[in-house]
Amino acid sequence: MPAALHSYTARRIAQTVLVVILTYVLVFFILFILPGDPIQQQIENPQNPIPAADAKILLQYYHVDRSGLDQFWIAFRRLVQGDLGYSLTTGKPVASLILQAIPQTLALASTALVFTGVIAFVIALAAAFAPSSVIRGIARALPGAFLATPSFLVGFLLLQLFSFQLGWVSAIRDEGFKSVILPALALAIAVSGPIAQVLIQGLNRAYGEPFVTVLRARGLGEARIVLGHVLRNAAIPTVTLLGLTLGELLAGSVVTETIFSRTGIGFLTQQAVREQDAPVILAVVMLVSTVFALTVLITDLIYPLIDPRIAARPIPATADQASD
Amino acid sequence: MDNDESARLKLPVLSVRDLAVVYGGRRDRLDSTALHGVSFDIAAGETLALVGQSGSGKSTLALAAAGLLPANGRIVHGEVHLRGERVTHHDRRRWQKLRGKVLGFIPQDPLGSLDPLQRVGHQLAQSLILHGIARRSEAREQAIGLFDRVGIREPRLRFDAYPHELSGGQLQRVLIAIAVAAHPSLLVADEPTSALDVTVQRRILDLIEDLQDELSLSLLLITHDLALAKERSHRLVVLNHGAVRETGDTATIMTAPRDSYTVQLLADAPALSPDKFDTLRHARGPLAAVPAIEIRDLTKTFRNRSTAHVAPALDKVSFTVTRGAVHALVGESGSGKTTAARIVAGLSGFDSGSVTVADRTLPLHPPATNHHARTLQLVYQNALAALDPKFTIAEALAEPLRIHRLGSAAQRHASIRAILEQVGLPDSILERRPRDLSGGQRQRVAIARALLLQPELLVLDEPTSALDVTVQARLVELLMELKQRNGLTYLFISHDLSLVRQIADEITVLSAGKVVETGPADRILSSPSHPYTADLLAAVPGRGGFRSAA
Amino acid sequence: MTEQLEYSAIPRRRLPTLPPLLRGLSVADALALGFAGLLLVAVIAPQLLTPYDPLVPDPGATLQAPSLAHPFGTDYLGRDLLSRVIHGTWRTIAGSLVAVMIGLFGGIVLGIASAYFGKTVDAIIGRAVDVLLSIPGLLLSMVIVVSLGFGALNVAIAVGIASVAVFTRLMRSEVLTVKELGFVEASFHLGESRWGVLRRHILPNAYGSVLALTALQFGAAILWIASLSFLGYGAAPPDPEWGLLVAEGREYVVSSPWMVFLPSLVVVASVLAISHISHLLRERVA
Repeated sequence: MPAALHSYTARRIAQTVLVVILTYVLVFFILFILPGDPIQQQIENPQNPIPAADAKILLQYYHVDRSGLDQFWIAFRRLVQGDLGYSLTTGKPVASLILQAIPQTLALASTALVFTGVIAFVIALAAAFAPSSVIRGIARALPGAFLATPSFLVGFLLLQLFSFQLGWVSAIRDEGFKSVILPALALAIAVSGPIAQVLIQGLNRAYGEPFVTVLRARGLGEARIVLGHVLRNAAIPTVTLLGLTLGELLAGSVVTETIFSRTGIGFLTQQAVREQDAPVILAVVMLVSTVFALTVLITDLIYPLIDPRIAARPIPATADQASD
Repeated sequence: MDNDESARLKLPVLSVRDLAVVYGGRRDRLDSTALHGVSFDIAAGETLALVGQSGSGKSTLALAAAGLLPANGRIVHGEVHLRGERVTHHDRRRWQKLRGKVLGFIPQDPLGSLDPLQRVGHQLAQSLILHGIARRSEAREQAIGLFDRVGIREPRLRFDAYPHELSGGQLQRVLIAIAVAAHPSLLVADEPTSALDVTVQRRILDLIEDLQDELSLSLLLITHDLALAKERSHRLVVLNHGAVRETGDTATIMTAPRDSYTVQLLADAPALSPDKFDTLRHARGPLAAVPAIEIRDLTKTFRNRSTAHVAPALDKVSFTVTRGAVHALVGESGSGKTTAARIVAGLSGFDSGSVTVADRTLPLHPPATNHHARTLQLVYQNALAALDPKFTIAEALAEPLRIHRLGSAAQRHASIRAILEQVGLPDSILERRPRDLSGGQRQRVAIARALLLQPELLVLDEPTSALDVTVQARLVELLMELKQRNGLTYLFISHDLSLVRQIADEITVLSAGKVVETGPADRILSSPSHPYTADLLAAVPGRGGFRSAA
Repeated sequence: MTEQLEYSAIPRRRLPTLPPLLRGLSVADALALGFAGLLLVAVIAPQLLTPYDPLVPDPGATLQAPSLAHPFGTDYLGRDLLSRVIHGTWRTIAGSLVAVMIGLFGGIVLGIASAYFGKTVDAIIGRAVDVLLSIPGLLLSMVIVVSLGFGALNVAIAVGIASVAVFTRLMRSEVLTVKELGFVEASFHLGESRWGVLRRHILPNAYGSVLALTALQFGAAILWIASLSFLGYGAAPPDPEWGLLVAEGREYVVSSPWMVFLPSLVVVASVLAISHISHLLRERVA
């Protein structure tokens, strides 16, 4: 690896760390400092009274009497030590709440990611190459329709059809992987629109490139041209959407998990926002934004492996450059 | 050789009869006829050049003959026979059997014509395997051998290169290797060298000629360059607006053209009429040795921040432009000629040296806003990019007058009309927008806009290189006329030595950022002192004789 | 030839001249514009579109299926659902408008500053945009809404702040792209000042895509506001709001699915209409 690439990698990693830290600063200030005193408010919340003894512990733990900057430094130092604080409604450690919720969300998000890829590819291929112009037209319109559809509508439609009408999956009981399919599909439909759009554009552009004419002139069949060359060229830009898609999947799980009664990160978030449970919200946002920032970092760093043009290293130039 | 074989050999390799091609589907109301009633034959081993300007239908003809018409183009009349087989209405499946084996195709743009994600060697090996020339295990060695044959140095190393890692000439060699991999009888080459530098162009065409002799290939050569066709083809078809204007022996047409359009083309090709402006120059007499631009030890390097790669663009460049002269700055791509022009025009800074324009020394780092617009103006190569698409031509022409607060509204109006007349444009274009104009018209607008500020100096950055030969000829005539009328000095950037020969008083030859030679045009063109200049001159097509019969 | 002569010989009645923006509309264009017009009426004068009061319950007509009298049916209190949708329009649409205005204004100022005022400003704004973009928009608006407190207006403001980064990034990249185009350099070369180039060349050439993003973001804001209200962070019952209507209907989704699906479909139709109009605008204006 040349030195330039090393310094690029180092710079990108430093940049990512900086963004994650700045995100923490921003969200901390929005949640803890701007609204006045969320902890005191929460303790005095008439709907959710906290025993006086617990309240005292919370007030001491968060040092609400200190200045905003002091509170931040205390929280930041604890964060570095792995202490995410305590929920203001249940008093449980935030870290354990998050750890409990992660498996559910991981199953949902990873299934949804697979569905997203499949849906986007099928739509894009149909939009570009379907033999019937009607199918092509429908496939071209689908991503826009997906983008216009609120995820709760998709969720309710799937529930109505597969749970209430056909009775394939229970709407309430957890039936393992079977229960993941519907919410994952709802999430996937919500986030696959942009990917399908980028793919359709990529396919149309790649199919119009002069190299396709040359491949045809070499005697390659259409199927081989599309599957072996055009598709790969068209799919590359979608890699840059991976971070965005993961972020949207996690954020979208707030609505989806609520509808499908799942108890993952999304449900935790929804509860925390409803109860204005700032420490939990902060932790969730940091989790999501860190996943996003890391994914973007990784896709940036491996991009040269996917697209050789990015790594543009000059081939040992010799005298023959002058000859040509 | 049995009878069938000899009968087949007597048949033309490619025969096109009365061909008509139309673009536009049923839904598209704008059906446009791209070709009508075109006929010609190519015999075995023969080179036929298809010459025409943009829009003449020459590329359509190449694609139709190769079965590569885009989806919205279709043959509506006539026949195409390939080695005796009627291929007029072959579908993709039947064409697929002929491709590579009977017909090879060399595209125009080498960079975009290879899959950017695959190593070039694999793309060639794939063809070898596909056509049963090589087994999978031996494809690599065979491909390397073929790379060697088409003149790719270090073929083993290049086998694993990606397209973006090779130069345009190298890529064109790869594409030629792919085209001849399965031993076709006919090569269709669509402007195979128009994207390449002149010296590279010559080597590529030499290679194709060698391969032609070696593999007894026929060649359908599509080109806009008459001089090139003159040197490289046995027979010629001149196309205009989709119809054949003249067809016959290359030597006959070049020496005694019968069609008026061919006559015009020949007269407008700079390579074929080098002394067109000599009378104009003689009438003016010798120039006084007053410098308009003086460049001393001009150095500039480009730094790539991410790779820390330092590339010198200009290395101690020195030359002088005499007031009233046409000073041509000549070089191939990457020679630094455009960089030099941009520095003179105050568009980029430089590292060291001195640049004096009309007695004013330029700063190392010029400000964004040009405060000396009325002394010197630059005319861009691409006029379409240099005109704001949102502006009408009237607004674009008024812009310099508005910026410099020249004259009242009525006076501005009058000067715009006057300048339009000078550059030969009608008033009716004033309300149009740049994209609605032809390339030649746009370049005239750009020149008019520059002249509205009445500068003493014009820097012309390849102002005609994107234009057809007849349009170029009219524009060059206009430039020479404007120069004489307004007493201008031109710094003329060009890669086209034939054009430079026609118009230049002085020449500076740049190569890899260094001045190779500078001085009076007559001396440099007749007795170049540097081998690079000699090489450059020798590579200009149209200087040699005709090609002998096949 | 004869056809042409005959045609021109007939004295043609002059058609009422449409403004050029409206000429040659397709059926889909007309549908989108018509629906947008309905939305506008529903925002300004909802009582013109429905005879029912959205807040008055009718205990004798609870959970009725869609009928001629109640095209969207009635809810669990017997309130007419269509009139609740119509009267709820302004909370969603006006809210989205507020959100887009905040995003657009912030984005234009920050984007131009970032692209035009040198490296330090660009680095600061660039990091800020990176930070904001690293949190998915819906989540970021939740965070802001927690800080501002629940309510329809606060949700709109939160969505607006959450979309500033997208506008900033687009504005910045548009200005930078246009700045690199040949005609900008050509204008500097003619002697134009920095402000002159920005005003006469860069902004006019950048505004087409900003306009398109505005329309797109308007649709996204509708979805976000509906989602946030659905989750219960926006308008409070008994006020009608689209997302809230869906949430209220949720309990009855098995027996009275229209309570969920009809308000949702209005959301879809609004976003589709607006995105269609954005395409139309891009074609005709930019």
